[in-house]
Parts: sequence; structure tokens; C-alpha cells
Amino acid sequence: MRSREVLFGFLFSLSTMVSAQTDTLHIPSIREIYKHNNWLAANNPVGLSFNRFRSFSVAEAGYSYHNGNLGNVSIPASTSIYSVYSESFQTVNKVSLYGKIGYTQYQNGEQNWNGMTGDHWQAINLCDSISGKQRSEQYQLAAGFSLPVHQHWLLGAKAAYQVQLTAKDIDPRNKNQWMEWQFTPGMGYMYRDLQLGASFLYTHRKETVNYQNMGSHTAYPVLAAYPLGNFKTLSVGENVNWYYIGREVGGSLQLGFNRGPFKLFQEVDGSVINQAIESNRVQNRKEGESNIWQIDYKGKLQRVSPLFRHEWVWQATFGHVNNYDPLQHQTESDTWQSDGKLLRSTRRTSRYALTYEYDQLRDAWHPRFSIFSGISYYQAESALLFYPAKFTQPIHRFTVHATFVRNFLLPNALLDLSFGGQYGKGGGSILDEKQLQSGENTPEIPLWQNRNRLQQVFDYETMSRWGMNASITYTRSVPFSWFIRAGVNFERMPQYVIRENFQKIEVHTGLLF
Amino acid sequence: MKKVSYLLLVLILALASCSESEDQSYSVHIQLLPPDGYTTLPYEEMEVTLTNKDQGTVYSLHCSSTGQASLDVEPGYYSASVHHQTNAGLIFSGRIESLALLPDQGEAPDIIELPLSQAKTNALVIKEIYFGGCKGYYENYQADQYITLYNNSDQTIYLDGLCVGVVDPGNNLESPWMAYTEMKRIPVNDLTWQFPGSGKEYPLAPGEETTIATNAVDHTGGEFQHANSVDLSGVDWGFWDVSLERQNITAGVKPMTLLANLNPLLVMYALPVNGPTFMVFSLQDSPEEYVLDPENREPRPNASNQEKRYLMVPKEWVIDCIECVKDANSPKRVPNELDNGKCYIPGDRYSGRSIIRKKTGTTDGRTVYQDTNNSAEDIEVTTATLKTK
Repeated sequence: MRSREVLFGFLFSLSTMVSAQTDTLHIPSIREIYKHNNWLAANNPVGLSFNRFRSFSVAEAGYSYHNGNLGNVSIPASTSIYSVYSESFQTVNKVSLYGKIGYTQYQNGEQNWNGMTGDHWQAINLCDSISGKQRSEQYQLAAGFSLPVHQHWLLGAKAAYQVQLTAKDIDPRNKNQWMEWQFTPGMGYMYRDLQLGASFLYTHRKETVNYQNMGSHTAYPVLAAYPLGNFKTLSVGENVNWYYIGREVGGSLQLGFNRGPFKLFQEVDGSVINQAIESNRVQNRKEGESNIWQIDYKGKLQRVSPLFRHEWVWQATFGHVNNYDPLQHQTESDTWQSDGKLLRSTRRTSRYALTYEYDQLRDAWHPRFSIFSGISYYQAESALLFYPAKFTQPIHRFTVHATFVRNFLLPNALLDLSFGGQYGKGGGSILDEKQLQSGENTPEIPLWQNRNRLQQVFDYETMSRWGMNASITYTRSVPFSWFIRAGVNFERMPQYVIRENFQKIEVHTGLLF
Repeated sequence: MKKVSYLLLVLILALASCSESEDQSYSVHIQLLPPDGYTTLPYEEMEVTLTNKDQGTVYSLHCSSTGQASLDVEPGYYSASVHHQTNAGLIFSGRIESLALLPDQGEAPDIIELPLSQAKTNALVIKEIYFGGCKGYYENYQADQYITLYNNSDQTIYLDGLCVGVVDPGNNLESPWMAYTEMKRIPVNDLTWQFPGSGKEYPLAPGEETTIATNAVDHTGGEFQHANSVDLSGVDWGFWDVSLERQNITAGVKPMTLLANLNPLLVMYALPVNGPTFMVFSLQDSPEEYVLDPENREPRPNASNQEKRYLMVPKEWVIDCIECVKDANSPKRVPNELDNGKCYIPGDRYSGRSIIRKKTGTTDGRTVYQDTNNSAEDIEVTTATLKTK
């Protein structure tokens, strides 16, 4: 891990060496970069060619401290996050370039019931019930380019690579290595006010999870987590090594249209993902498989004038996950032979969001003040199947939020104050049971259900809670552009529920090139 | 814009229609075959159990009058079993170790024949547990506990090497083992006792019983003088070891072998007065090696003392088990495969009562006791039987 840090520091320092800029004198933040070019948030690298500046870079270091997990014990009770990252947009002649490099370290306290990295894996996740400290390091690299090859045509490509290493310091201790690389080629077509784009996405992910009890006097069990608070005890005392592999193939279509003060952008993304879990690669023993598809549609309409900017954003996301148990048997040579698969659990999700932002502008790159508000609605249904019984948990959540930002012009500096709030409330049913076939008896299910965990996750998803956030950002432009930002975030459950509220404080500082 | 919306709608509908069928099932038909000498059996009283060997899912169904059972199960590899005891005490059982019930097998599934056999092996049962103690002159008295084992079969059983013990935990709190483990192995609380012998030294004939006392002495006389208690000086066995300084035994009573002791400071062995979950089990061929192997020891889940490691017995090795608890609301300590219910002594402690198996009848002059693997049905409460002898 030390050699990785040295190499990473070298690459990081290289990425911050850029030529003298004129653009950064009037671009106050990376946020304005993404505000002026809707294509940058899309999945098509040809959008780099639509930047209205020639060069912009940011190098930032940050620290944040999170405390509280709103009662969901699979989230650490406390986390310290240290991060450094650099992002750069450059245009050389006609070629637009992009690069990003980042390092993040997480120090989690009281981590249990979650032995995986992130929430990518859907079928069966490993975990344990013993709370302890966990440290994780994430390294990110990304690069892309876009090139006009014709009066109307653009070609581009983007690649990203991410590695995360995690280790827990108390038995049963997990050691995780997570890796993802992603490749996105794209093409674009421009004609007058119209821009069209199409891109392809391929992602390869894998994670190895190694669980062991190192102390001579302890032998805690390792658990496999199923949906709806169900668990299976895997081993007590024996090491567990599982391998998770995922492949994602997808594509996106983009449409941009500018006419007068109006700018319209739309994108449709679709992808299919296949994930597999192996516990013994030599004997070819599998533990689970997932088939996933997801579709995302987002649109943005802006009306811009010299004095103001209106922006409406709408988004709809749909996802469908099927998790399978393998049907397999062991042959005489001790290898495992597959006989098919059996649907064990599903998850259906949909999310709808609508936001509106109003900016009163001082100039094209500097808002005087901003009001940002939105609503979102999320619904999901998880199901666990043991024929003929089907256990389901339908939930939904509605969230509304608003943020107000005021910008003050100071001598050679800017001061941004923001204050916002949010409220969310959900509902649903913690556990329903139905029979897929009438007249059949429910079997005796081999999993054990942890009602506490089931209740915690259900409460986390559905209980009403409100939150507030505030931040202050000071940006100075002479003798060079730099900024410092401090923020707090607070989220609270209802008072009659004894839960841990969530608090966050963060500090970031950086240079703008 | 219209074309994009239309394309999106078609894509969503297409993907939605490709959703996996949740109704994945396999129809299996099992036909029970009677053992030799029987042309007909009370099949309607027999229950076929299919256990998924990978997942552990269990399907059960009573048979028809012709001995057929048809079930719809999820595909997989199964074992099939039947175990039935008639009112006369006859036990019929059968097992198929591996059944491949897989989809896409082409032709319609055939009827699977499951031959039954009359059980010949171990029908050693726990007949009685006297644990509640009695009222003494000045204080409640609890040193007069005993357990009686009974041969409920028509074959001689040898006690040599068999083990007995209380399932952990002995208190009335929720079992951490049941809460945090799958209970594939059963924890023994503190002491594990074993019948000595080399193999055939201690036979138990059909219809015979043997009693083991915590203190094999006359509690009603001598130095003890507890009139409400019981004379245990003539029992067969005693829970006695030289390391237990306050344990008492009468000369002539055979001492059990103390195979494992988790608490070297213990000076006396006693059954939990709130109700012991007690089991008889076999440690197979090498009990001493099994007990010493650290792989067969585990600490109590989430306990503050992780140094204390309990002996773990695979549940398949348990010969008989009675889930005796404090009251109807007490948590279980063993999974339903070992005892599908629980029993308790209602009312006051120290009442001189014991739990005892119900009699179902007699066969060939010997009493047959009820054993449906459900102590809520099999057990009743009575005055300790040795008091009335």
C-alpha cells in the first residue's frame, strides 16, 4: 500500500502542473463549469468539446467528520474522511482533454453488519455482527478526450479506474480489495443549434472478501446477508474467501438544443449488469448470481439571460434486480457442476425527481444569489422467495429540499453563504407474505431473521426526518485563485424515536488554475 | 423529443416483460413402500419431509391413505425422509439421501419410491427429569435431582460411551446460540458426562430404565433428613467426580465419567432449577479426542467472557432431547429438529414434581412412552416417581 501512495502522490503532483490560464480569472468554481456545459455530467466524452473555456483545473484537499447513523448500524457510527483530488479540463488546438485523480481515506468507527465495499453487490453480501474500527483507502484515476473529426462529427473516449482497499481491526476481520475500470467511447453530431450524441459503456468490477478470526481465543461467525433481515451463518473459526465479479454493458443517447435564451438537454442511459459470486475458484463452486438492468432518463431546461438563469431538471430512474441461487452438485473429482439457477430474491426500484433553480447573475459566471429547490419520490420493493412463500417489503419515500445561496463581492475575493433544509418521509410495509400457489404450505426456511436489523433498515428508509445544512466559501483571486469552504450538515429523526442523529462537518481547501 | 419518449417507453415495456418467473417449482410425487411383513400402514398419519441439501429449506406433507405424497418444491437437491411412531410404539422410518429435483429435465417426473423400515436402532429416551427440588425444613432443597433414561424399543441398547448433559445456557434468558448461530451444533453447558464401558458392559434391555442422580444418597434420612425429598441411594448411576468436593454418592452406585468440565472451580453439579434442556448424545468413535479438539469448542456469542469455550455437539448426534424451560414464555434453547416444543413445571418451584413422558400403551409386556419429538405433547408433570416407590 505504501508504494501505491508514493506513485499516487507523484501522479497527483503532475496533474496540478498546468500552463498559465486566463479562464480561471472568471470561473469561480468547478460547479459553474458543470452548470455551463450540461454535457459534462452526461455519459458521453464528446461533451468536453462544448466547454466555453480553454482551460480550468482544480486541486482540492478536504476533511469531513460524520457522526451518527440514524439507527442503521450497517452505517458506521462515526467516520473521518480525508481526501485529495485534482480535476482538469484543457483544450489544445481542437482536442479537448480531461483528467482526474483522487485519493480518499475513510476511518470508520463501530462498523458492523456490512463487510462489503459500497452497495454494488446485490445477491448475497458477507458481514459480521461484531462492531469495530475499519479503515479504507480509495484511489481514482480518470482521463478522457474529445476531437472534432468533421464539420459536424465528434469522437471521444473516456477511461476510469478505481481501487479501494478495506480492512477491519477486530475479529471476525474482513479484508477487501475492490477494483473497477470503466471505458466509454462516444460520438456526437452537431447541426446548427442541435447536438446529438451516442456512447457505449463497459464496466468491469471485482471484489475479493477475506474474513478470518486471527485471535486464538475468539471464533465469531461470518454471516451471509439475504434481503429482509435474513442471514445464514457460514462458518465459525474457518476463513471465508469469496470473489465477487461484475460486468456492466450499456449505452446512452444525448440530445442538446439551444435556441435563443433556451438550452435543452436530455439523456437516456440503459445498462445491463451481471454479477457472480464464487467461494472456491479451484473447485468452481458458486454462491450466487445477479442479473440487473437499469434505465435512467434526465432532462434539463435552462433559460439564461445576462441577469438571471432559470433551470428545471427532471429525472426518472428505474432498476430491476434478480438474484439467483446456483443449482449445482459436486462431481467425483470434487469440482462443482452447474445445473442451472433458482430465483431467490428481487428488488424493483424507481425514482422520480424534479428540481428548480433560480440564479440572479452578476455576470455569466457569478451568481449574486441562488435558490435551489426540489422534490423527489422513491419507491422500492424487495422480495425474498422460498416457494411457495414470497416475502416482500414495499417502501416509498418522498423528499423535499431547498437551499439558498448568497454571494458577496469582496475586494479580490468572493464570499458564498449557503443555508438549506430538507424533509423526507416514507412509508411502506415492513414485511408481507403471500403464497405464489394457493393450497401449498410454507416451507421451513433455513435462514434466521434478525428482526432488529429488519426494523433498523426499514426505519432508515421510511421514517420521517428533517435536516439542515450550511456552508461558507471564501474564494480569493489574487495573487492566485484559491478557496476554502466549511460546512455543516445535520439530520434528525423524530424525537419519540431513540435513534442516532446524523451530523457532519467538513472543511475543504483548494487551488483553481 | 417524441421519438425519444416513444423509444424509452418501448424499452421499459420490453425489459419489464422479460422479468423472471417467480413461480419456479418442481412437482415431486413420493410413494411410501411398507417394510416386509406389513401390507398396510396408517399412511395418513405419516409425514414426508424433503430437505434441500444446499439451502436447508424443509417441505413437509402428510401422505394420502395409499401412501402417496405430492409436493411442489423449489428446484434443487434434496433428501427425503419419513419418521412415524404408531400408538403401539412402533417406529417406521425411511430416507433417500439424495434426490435431484431439477427443472428442464424433459419428461414428466416419475413417482419416487421411499421404502420404509421399522426402526431397530436407538429408541433410548429421557423418561423423567426431577429437577425442581422440594421444600425442606428451613429452606428449599435442590440436591435431590435425578434423570431416568428408558429403552423404548424392542432391542437391547448399550449405554457404553453415551453422553448426557444440559444444553447451554442453563438460565432463563434468550439463548445467544439460538439468536446468533444456525444451531447446527448444540452447546453443552459446563459439564459433559459419559457412561463408562468398553462397548457392551452396560446393556439396557427393552422396557428397562436407568436412573442417574446428582447426589446418589438417601436424602430423607441419615445426615440429610429431608422428609419431602427422595431416597436416591439405590439408583444405578451418580453424577460424581473426585473434583466435585460437595457431590455425594453412596457406595455401590456407579459414577458417571466426567468427560469435560468448563468450570474447574465447580464443587457441585446440579440441574438448573428453572428447567434444564437435557440431552443424550453420542460422540461417535473417539469421544476423548472429540472433546479435546479445539475445533469442537466455541465461545458463547456476544459474551463478555470469550475464554470459556463450550463443547459443541452436532445435532445429528443427539439421541434424545427434552426442552424443559421455566414457563410458557421462556425462550427455546434447541432447534425444533431436536424438540418441536417445550415443557415446564407450572406453579411453585421446589414442589417435588418432575416432568415425565406420557405412556402410549404396552407392547409385548413393556411400556411404550410417547415420543413425537414434541415435549409439549409428550411430557406431563407428576410427583417424582421415585418418591412413591
